[in-house]
Amino acid sequence: MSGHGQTAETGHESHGVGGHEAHHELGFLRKYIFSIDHKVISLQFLFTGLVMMIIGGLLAMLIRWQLAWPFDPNHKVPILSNLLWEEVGGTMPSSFYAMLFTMHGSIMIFFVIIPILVGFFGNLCVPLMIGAKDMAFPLLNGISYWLMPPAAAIMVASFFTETGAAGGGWTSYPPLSALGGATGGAPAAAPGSAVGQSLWCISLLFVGTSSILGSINYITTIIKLRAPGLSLMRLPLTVWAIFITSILVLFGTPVLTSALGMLLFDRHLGTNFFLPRGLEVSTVPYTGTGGGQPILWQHLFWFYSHPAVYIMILPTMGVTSDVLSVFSRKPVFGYKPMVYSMAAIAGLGFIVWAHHMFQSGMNPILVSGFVVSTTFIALPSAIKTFNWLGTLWGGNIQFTSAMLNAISFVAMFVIGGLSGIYMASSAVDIHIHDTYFIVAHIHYVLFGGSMFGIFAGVHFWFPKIFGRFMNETMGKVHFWLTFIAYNCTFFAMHIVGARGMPRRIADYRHYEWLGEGALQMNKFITMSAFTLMAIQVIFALNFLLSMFWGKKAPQNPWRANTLEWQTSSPPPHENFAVTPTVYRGPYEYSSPESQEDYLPQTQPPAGGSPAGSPAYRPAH
Amino acid sequence: MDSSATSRDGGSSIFIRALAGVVVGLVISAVVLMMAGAPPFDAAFAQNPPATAPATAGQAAAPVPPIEGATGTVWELPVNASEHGDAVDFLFWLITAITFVTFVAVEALLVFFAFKYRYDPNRKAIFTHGNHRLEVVWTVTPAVILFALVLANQKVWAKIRYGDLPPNSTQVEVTAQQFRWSFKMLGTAERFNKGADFAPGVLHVPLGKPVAVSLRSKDVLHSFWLPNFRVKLDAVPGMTGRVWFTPIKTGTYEIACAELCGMEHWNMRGLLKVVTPQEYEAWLLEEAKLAPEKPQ
Repeated sequence: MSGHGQTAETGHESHGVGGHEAHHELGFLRKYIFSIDHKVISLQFLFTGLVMMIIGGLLAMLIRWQLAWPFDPNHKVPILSNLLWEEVGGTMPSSFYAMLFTMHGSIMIFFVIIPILVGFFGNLCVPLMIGAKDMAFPLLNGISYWLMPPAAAIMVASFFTETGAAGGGWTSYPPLSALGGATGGAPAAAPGSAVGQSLWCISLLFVGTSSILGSINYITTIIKLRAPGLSLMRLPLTVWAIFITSILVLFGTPVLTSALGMLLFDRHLGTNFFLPRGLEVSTVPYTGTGGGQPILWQHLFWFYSHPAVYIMILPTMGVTSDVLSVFSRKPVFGYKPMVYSMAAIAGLGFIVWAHHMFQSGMNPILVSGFVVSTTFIALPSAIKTFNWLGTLWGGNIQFTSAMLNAISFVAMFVIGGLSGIYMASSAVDIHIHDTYFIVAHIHYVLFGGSMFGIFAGVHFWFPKIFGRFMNETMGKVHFWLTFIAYNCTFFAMHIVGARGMPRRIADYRHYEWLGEGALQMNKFITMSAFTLMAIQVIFALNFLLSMFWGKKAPQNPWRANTLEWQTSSPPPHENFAVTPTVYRGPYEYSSPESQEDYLPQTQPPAGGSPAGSPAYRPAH
Repeated sequence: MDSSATSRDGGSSIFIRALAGVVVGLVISAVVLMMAGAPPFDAAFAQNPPATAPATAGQAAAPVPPIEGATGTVWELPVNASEHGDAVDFLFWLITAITFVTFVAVEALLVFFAFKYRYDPNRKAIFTHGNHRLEVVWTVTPAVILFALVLANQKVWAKIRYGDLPPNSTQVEVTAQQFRWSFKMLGTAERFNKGADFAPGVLHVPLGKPVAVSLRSKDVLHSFWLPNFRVKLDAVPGMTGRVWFTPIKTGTYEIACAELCGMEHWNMRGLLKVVTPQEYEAWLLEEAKLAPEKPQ
């Protein structure tokens, strides 16, 4: 098999990166627990993320239980009902429901999608795909991971406080989230506004720090540690995606950090950033000085959280481009437009945030400005979709599990993106804001997009990580069953949402404007959701069993071009025996220059042709 | 795919396949049983007992009148009783038309390409890096459509929200609190020479005349939502929001809270009754009897 670079480099590689000595054996703790090796850290992020996904998924199942059988004593929640709600008649209290949707969103966003997309894919792919031994700052990398378990512990611990976990929605709008009862004389505005809300803030401060440290690492690594010949325009799109995502993280997250700090101060130190004068909670007056603005929180929160949603999709856009190209045996269609589109999504992503606030009482003229930017951010995503279609067109398509999931990413992301057009219209948003139409959109882009992207990336890179294949049959069964159950679960939400079923509501049966059929539709969604969750057991089993007993995988099982496939599976310590030299872009599949239908980036051109010579040498 | 892989470990592969078979069988059985309504799933689809939402302090104890907006099924937009509602709904359907066409076209191409270009070892894929003209076409075309949508939205939005409360309107102050709506008919104290503006339990407004709402909140964020009028505005403590609409159908409609405000957020429901101008005047006179007298 081809793929070996020149051996012009000396055999001895410097151990300069991180000052790490390759020769002495590391103890178990330093090797597997407090590792500074990006490959280990990537798995730590993945496993922590998958465990949190189980928790987040169970929370969703409870939400769906309540919505199918609201306050129904004939359908008590198994186990929890007897454990927690004996005294209150066995049905779920509203305060518990508020906790459910708050923590489902918070956990999925901050402990599943962001860590897996940035921590797992970033750590796994970036050093390997650019031919580096490790990240630029390996110790910082380790610290970035180790901030997550305490954050997760705090978030989970908040469930076990007397008043329960935070219950103000993952968006935590004050004054609800600020009136915790600790200052100002007034009682907490809700049980979920008590200590659980403070723990939520503190947990997210850890997560934000983890993200920011990680972003510094990825940006530096991608700029400074590329192998000779690997110019920016020869980077795989996964690496471009992580690079652009990291810029979003770096500039956006500090604003959330500030907002969280301000909220904690309002809750405990008597400040009034978000608390106006004259409040009362259940007729008890709030005696703080006031003078604050609730809408200020929304601006600060969404200034981060809108770029956050692009943080949660861009890496999987990059992964999808790579997987589609490999299994179509074709170059990515429109590489430069793909890069510029991702940059445009990120750039525009910073000037659209107030579309979450169209009905907030914000100045309507300002709303119009955000309508323009929000409507146009659909454009780069549309361009990417057409280029993905162009990548498939004329290809020679192999339907591996990775490929099926990647194609599904495109198909489902299109639906999520199109439903976003409704939200960009501030007038239509009057009707659909805070309804299940929004929930449908969220889940089409996050599950239909990011989740299928995660499945694609895991199937694709599993052989590289573990030196073993995941089982293809199980992968395909998992894919098709998931695809069906997922669409059954979430498409119906567009319908109830457009009819006006609100979100964050423990019971909706008394809303007469919903007309006929809302209860039946919710039961259908719940049944589909239960099925969807059950089907994920197949993926979990496939992953766990294949780790130990999967069919052994060679160095380059997919016959791919990028650098990670030009080293062993799994890669050795410091990734490459010899620093690779890059001669071309990453997508030269079915090239006339090669007899095979692939042409690795590191394969020297035949006859020393200048067309493939390295265009870039970093100055060491 | 690489065919020179090392030889399979036959034993474990069979183990995984067997396990996969069992799991898949269980899942498929569960789905089939569920859809057939067989035990244990038959209980799941049994009808709930009639909705008995826990009683909440502050809700009107009087029996709820038949709701005008309750017509139709979940597959249609809620009935519209507002003058600007048609414009909003038109935008909704316009966007539906555009996105539906796009959706069908993109998904059809996706499926068609996946099928047409499936793997054939005797064929090599078309080696191309892109097409500049196509990029221009599929950038400019959506951009034009999106720009048209911006203009269409701006027309409706400016009409609904720009400017201030219309003159010659029924002036109402709506106050949100945990967990109910209260109303004040502004100007009635002066008009009927009473001690305070009327504070009805059910908001009444006359047909055909704009309703100008001043929106306030006592504690946390709420959102004043009239699903049948395409009206939604957050009630922000410390601010007085201003929103207006003109009812064009009589009947009783619902007010909902559209911003999470605490435990009973889901139960924070009010009523709006649109009546003829004559009925409205009669109702005002009735309310006048209940209003406090002016202090001497």
